[in-house]
Amino acid sequence: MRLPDWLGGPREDTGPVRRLKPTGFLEKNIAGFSGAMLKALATEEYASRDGVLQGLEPRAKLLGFFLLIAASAIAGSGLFLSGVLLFVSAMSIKTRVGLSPLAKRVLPAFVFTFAVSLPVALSAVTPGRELVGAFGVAVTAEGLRLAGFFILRVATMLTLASLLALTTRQADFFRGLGRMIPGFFATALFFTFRYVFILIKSAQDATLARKSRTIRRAVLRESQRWFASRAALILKRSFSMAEEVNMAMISRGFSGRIVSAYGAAPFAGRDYLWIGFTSFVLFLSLGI
Amino acid sequence: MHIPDGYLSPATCGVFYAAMFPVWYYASKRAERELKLKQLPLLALGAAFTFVIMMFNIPIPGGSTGHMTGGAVVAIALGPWAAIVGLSLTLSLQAFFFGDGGLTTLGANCFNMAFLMCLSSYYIYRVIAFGEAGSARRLFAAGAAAYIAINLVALAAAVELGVQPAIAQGPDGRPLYAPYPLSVTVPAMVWPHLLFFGPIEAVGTALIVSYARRMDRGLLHEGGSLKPLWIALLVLAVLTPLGLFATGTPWGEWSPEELMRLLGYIPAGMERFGDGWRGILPDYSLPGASGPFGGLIYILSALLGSALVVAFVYIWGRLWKR
Repeated sequence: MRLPDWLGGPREDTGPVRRLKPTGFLEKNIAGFSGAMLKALATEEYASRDGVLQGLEPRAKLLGFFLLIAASAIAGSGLFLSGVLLFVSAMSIKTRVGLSPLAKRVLPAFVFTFAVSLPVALSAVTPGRELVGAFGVAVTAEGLRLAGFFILRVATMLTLASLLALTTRQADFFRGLGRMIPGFFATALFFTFRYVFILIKSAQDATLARKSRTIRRAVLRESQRWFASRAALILKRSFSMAEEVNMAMISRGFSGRIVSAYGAAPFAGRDYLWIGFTSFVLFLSLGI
Repeated sequence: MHIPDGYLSPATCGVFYAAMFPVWYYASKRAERELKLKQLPLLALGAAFTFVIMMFNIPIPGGSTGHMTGGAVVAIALGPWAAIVGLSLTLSLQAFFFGDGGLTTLGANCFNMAFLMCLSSYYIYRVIAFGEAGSARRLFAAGAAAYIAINLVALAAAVELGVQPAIAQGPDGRPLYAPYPLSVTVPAMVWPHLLFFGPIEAVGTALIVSYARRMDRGLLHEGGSLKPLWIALLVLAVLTPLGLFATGTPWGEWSPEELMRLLGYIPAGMERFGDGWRGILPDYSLPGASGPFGGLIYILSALLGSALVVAFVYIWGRLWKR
């Protein structure tokens, strides 16, 4: 699936010169809802590209990534984690996803971890050999190493999870997951994914309708009431929709048992190669 | 609140996955029994609703905005077991597709935000709003349930993060995962939730429950049994005598003699007011009671205390029927 150009980002000839930061709660909501939709659509586009990882059988790909994530969680060596991070970065290029979309996805959690880790480098938290200091506060070598290692581990694991999401089409993901966890949960997860966008659209429409009728900023109490009424309405809509979907499922013969129409495709050589390689990395991590 | 990958050790993640597997199994069976065939779309829509609620910015004083988790709303609407499954689905989706929360930490996140949040908020709501509660009491019950539950979740996350330096260290003794001890993580997580996120969750939940009730009473799960709560409380009451096996003085409950021994002096205020009111059954015992008789008096004290609490709650419920 290829996204139209106008959905990819602001165009210089028609868009604002600088991006306006949403200020009010209505604007923030609209930006948040649109952002989530765009993120999901963009992910689907990257996953549809012709790359090394996109061609793997979904089960093999999921299993391989889980093994790599487990290896990164177990490893106690910074060198090993740097190697995995380098490998994932190289794979993002080979899969035609690119470093920029990967970095964009990882950035919020990375920035949070970076901010959280900063005090670890200080002598007040991690005493040790002081490298630089002022006003009684110093950065220690031990603290810096500790913070660096923690950030490296989180960054590696985040990057792995992000590359998995960016290279897996949603349908493939649910198909692969359905072979690994009970069918009920995989189907419920698939349903949830579909409904999330319907409800986000409802919430976005309600917010846009409110904004289009607003000429001055509402007082706090009124805004909170509006939020509560919309949330209650979405809850009611969810229940009505669940009832309708249930009736539709029953009328089509649903009796409570999940049956998949798709058989599992056999693994190809590259799937075995991928699983073999990721298993090797996991075993390597156990000794480091 | 979503713990990302890399913050918890593999052993901690394994423990939480192991703890959540039976919970997911039991919760899905309970949801299946309560919701019958419509469980699949209802659970999925409940999960999708939570997802959207988490995205909503709620206006707060000062012109800023905040987010709520929505766990209490879903628990009050769907019942605790369906809500656990629904919240777990939401958290899985956020971890897999939106990078919110980790894949290895999914078990821990589900334990905190699905299991702990849904069970505690639902039963707190039901206990406060028991009987023929009016809208004011229901509003208070929803807000209190959400406030207490979100703070419990914050405390649980703080403990999970805070124990990491003690349980997962490298050969040189450096922490391999979340680097801060409990003395840092607990205040860092608990204070913002007590003062900021807790009130947002409470106000948001109370308002949504109030509107949902006015819109359609059938939206709220109010007919469920409180049996699991009573069983849990009964188990705790039966386990009370275990306290008899504890040795030493509980931390902070030192007698003046013990304080003298520990500190070398007795603080003036404690010396002056320490013996002011010793209660009807001082130290859960009677003067001169010791050995098995002392143990019996200890258990009777616990039973008397529980009976007084139940009587107080009953009278309060009868008086506040509004």
